[in-house]
Amino acid sequence: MFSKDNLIQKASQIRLETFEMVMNAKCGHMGGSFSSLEVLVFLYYSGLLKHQPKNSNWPERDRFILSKGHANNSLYVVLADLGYFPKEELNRFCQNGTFLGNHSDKIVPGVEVSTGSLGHGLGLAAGISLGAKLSDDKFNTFVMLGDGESQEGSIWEAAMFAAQHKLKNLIAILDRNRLGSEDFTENTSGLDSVEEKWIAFGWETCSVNGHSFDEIHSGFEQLINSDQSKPKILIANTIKGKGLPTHENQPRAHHTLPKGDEIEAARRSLT
Amino acid sequence: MNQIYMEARDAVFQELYNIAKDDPNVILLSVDTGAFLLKEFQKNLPNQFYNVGIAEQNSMSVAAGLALSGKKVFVFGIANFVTLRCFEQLKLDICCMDLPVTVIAMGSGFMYSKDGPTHHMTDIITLTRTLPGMTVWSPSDFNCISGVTQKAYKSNSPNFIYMDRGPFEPLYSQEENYDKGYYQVKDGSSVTIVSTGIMTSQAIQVSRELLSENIECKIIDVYRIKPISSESFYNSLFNSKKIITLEENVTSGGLGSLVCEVLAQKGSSIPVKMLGITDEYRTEIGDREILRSYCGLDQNSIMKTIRNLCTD
Repeated sequence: MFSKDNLIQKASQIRLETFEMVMNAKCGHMGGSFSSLEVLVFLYYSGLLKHQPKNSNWPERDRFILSKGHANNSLYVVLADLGYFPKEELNRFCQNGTFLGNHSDKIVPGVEVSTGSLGHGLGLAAGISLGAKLSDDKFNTFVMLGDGESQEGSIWEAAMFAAQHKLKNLIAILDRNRLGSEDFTENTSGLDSVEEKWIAFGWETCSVNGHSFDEIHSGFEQLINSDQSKPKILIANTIKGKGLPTHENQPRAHHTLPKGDEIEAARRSLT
Repeated sequence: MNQIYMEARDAVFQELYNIAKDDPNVILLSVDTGAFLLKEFQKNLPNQFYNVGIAEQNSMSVAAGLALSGKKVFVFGIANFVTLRCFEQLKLDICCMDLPVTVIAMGSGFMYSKDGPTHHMTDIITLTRTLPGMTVWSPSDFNCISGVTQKAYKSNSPNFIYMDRGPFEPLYSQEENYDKGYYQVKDGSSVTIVSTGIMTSQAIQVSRELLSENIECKIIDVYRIKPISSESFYNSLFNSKKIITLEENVTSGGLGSLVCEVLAQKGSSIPVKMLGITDEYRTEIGDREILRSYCGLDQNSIMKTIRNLCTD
């Protein structure tokens, strides 16, 4: 079990390494990768997610699905850091011939499903959860959703299905950074009040500051220890591009990389 | 001894029920589409049958998720909806990850003729052919439906069964192994008809009528659209004088295209006449044969086309 200080330190390390990887590749989605980063680090380093990096197909592992597949930049850095594949591979991120592309792909050790087109992950996770329930497997299925992604109708089809089948082994995380690719969600198809929506769909919810390890910890603890037969969702209120002073909470955080003086400013801020 | 079926839904669901009774890993999802035998599933195998509601996209993602947790999954729904509404899920969640999910799509071509263009499935062959890794079945009689259901169960990859309720001309024996993908129904020297699904019955009826005019049709039934061995398929066609393709699918990218692709790759100059659904929406309401007549696919039109071909 990592301490909070260790988690903070790990998050800084992953954020900086993700930045360097993306800048080297000149390609990436740092905005969503950085908003979801603390939750990701908590899952993989706190001991919450049962997994074995040297045995990525361990049958009893918890499943983690990154439904917002474009946020894979930091996931790949985490997986390499944990030893799922050699860290040197990160230098080839998005280069010709690599297996590390700009969206999450099942061919990468540690990645459960291919994602990138939005709105698929929750249904996939619900199917895995139902399969586990039917086979009496004890693992949990975690799935990270984007809030822009939640404008897809398929998310709500899956939400109803999971509640109908009381998939209490399904734990979603909503990365509520309030931005889509081009604009704020509330300017396009508004999602507020999003927690009430999930409650209305039959889910157990907990809303936290998605950059605070204390809150992430207590949020997951509350959800996982609950005895309600409902699927669960941690609503992580986050900042898109967190850690990049010139990009935080701006539409350009999605996939516009820092340029010129912004690069050194970002590096200083992340170091 | 295999069972003899006289109804399409029986052929697929009795077969599936028998499979599922012996294999608890088989799961059937219905997209709120009914069949009498599904009640048996619900009653006797409640953990293996789920009506997922009217949610095609989710049904395919859930099917893929179940397959990822070790299940063999069948998804049943009306053809249009379990193809068009969720095409990306078919492509990315099922085919791209090569998962053992079989889609049972009911209602080929103009089967739901009176339900209007929302229910006409005019392009399934075209679309499903484009999915890498998908095996696409277009069965042409009840035995064929039950046989390819077994093939899909034994497969560890995505399958798509494009079903029709018939009536069918009986074609296949219960011993048929369905390995080859096509079957020569009858020989004939005047013209070769290549057809699939329900249109093979149309081809047989047309060829019977034309016999009295000394027109002898060879008929090849393509019960598996994909994969198909080009070499073997070409060998079944190369000695034809002329070829006519019949499908209740748009001609662009469908069975006719498949035949032309195979012939062209071999440098063949055999003339091919492609009959299929024309490039427009059919808003007229009527029996199936009426709608076919607007596209030249009714028996009289097909006979006329063949007569013209034979006298050219």
